[in-house]
Amino acid sequence: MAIDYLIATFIESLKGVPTTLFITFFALIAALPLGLLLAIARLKKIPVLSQLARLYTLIIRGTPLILLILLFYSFVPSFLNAFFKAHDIAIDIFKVNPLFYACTVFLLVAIAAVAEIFRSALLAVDGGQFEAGKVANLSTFHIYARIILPQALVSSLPNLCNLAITLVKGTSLVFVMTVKDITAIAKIQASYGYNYAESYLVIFAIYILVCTAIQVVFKKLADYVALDRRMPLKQMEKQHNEKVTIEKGVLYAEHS
Amino acid sequence: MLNIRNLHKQFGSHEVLRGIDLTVNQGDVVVILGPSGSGKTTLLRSINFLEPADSGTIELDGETFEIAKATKQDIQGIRKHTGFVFQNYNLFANKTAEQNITEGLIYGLGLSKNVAKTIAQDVLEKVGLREFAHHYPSQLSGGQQQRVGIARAIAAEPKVLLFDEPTSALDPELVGDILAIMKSLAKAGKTMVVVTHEMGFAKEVASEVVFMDGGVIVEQGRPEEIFEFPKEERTQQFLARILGDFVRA
Repeated sequence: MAIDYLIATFIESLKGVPTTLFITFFALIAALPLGLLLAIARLKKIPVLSQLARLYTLIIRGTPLILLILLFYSFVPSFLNAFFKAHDIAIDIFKVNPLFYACTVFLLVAIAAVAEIFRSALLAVDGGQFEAGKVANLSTFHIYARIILPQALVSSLPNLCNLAITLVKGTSLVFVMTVKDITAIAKIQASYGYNYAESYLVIFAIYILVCTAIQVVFKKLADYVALDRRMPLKQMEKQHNEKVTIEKGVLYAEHS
Repeated sequence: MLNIRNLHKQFGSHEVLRGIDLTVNQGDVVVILGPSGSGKTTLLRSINFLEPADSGTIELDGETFEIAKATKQDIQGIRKHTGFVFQNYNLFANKTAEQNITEGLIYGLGLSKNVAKTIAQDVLEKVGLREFAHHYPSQLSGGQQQRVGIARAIAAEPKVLLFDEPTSALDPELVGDILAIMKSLAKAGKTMVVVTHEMGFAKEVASEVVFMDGGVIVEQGRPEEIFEFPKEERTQQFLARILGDFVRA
């Protein structure tokens, strides 16, 4: 029965969700400090590092993801193998979990994207605040760490959300590295009875669910860090009004 | 109190300051007037090294600094003794009004958190914003933001307060608030250097008016001298234009 197959495949493919999310969030989170470094290198025009960062972003952004994966998966294991052999390191390259390669490729991609996101977010923070910090004798590091960066992080959340979704969708390609993600599992299921159309329908739904969940999480995060949350305006107005009423009350009481 | 000698500054091939000499005594309110591009903001910003001048000397409270040779410590020392109020307020957007003030006191000057908090409450009270200590800049009007800006500048009790067109970014009906606070600071005996286009403020509060044009001080004197009997033609033209606008408006 088709419906049984759909349900069975759905449940089976769900087992790929952790892998998909692991690759995505490992890449995203590990890319934050490295991307920040590249962003600062470019903004501060640090010699060499700045040019390297630019070249790196250019290469990564100008390459299809599938090509990066194929290149990486073709070359890196052979290089590593030769390297290990040359240095008598007892690691069998063919037993390395392919998840390791997947995470590395997605990390490389995420670094370039995060660098660009942070660069524009840092540029968007008004430079006058930097001067105000300098005037107050705050150190450059302090101004960045406590004033500029927190604002840049908040304003880059929507773009980081987009990146997370892009990465999730990109992970559907890791089956070529024999990583068992959502797509890989569905394809394996389909191959038993040639139910490809049904399998694709199932993961169509799963990807939408996963991406929606990510958007919800980022929305919550954005609400959480929003400044207004810390003291909603309405609440402040209410407090203020109450205070005025009390003061007036006292005033009237004194006069009557 | 503040002694500026032979200040020069170039942006590329453009000379912005061409040998400025300016003396500000304790308790003076010096208002700097001049058309845009005259170098008045650059002069103000060079005093606390936001825009370091190329050459000249600055003497602040008995200590003389050769600008070209000023060390990081010198600059920090000067900044410690000067408060700066920006045209665009430049409040830290992710800090509350109170934190905007305490941040510099704690991490710039090394005061304890409790002391800094007490000072912050005190200066916010002075600018009439005690109720707004926990508001973020985005929750304040432009006038309120500038009042926080002033509170932040006076918190460390600097020897000299520098104002860079503090009311130019404000709605006209909010300008009065800021000028009133500045007046009360002047009355309290604060030494102030103010770049502004507010002629009323200059006339009423300034102890000295400086007119700049083309990177030099064209003329300076008591406000009644400058406004009633300007000697230089450039000053006359400038005042005619500004005050003419004022009458028309």
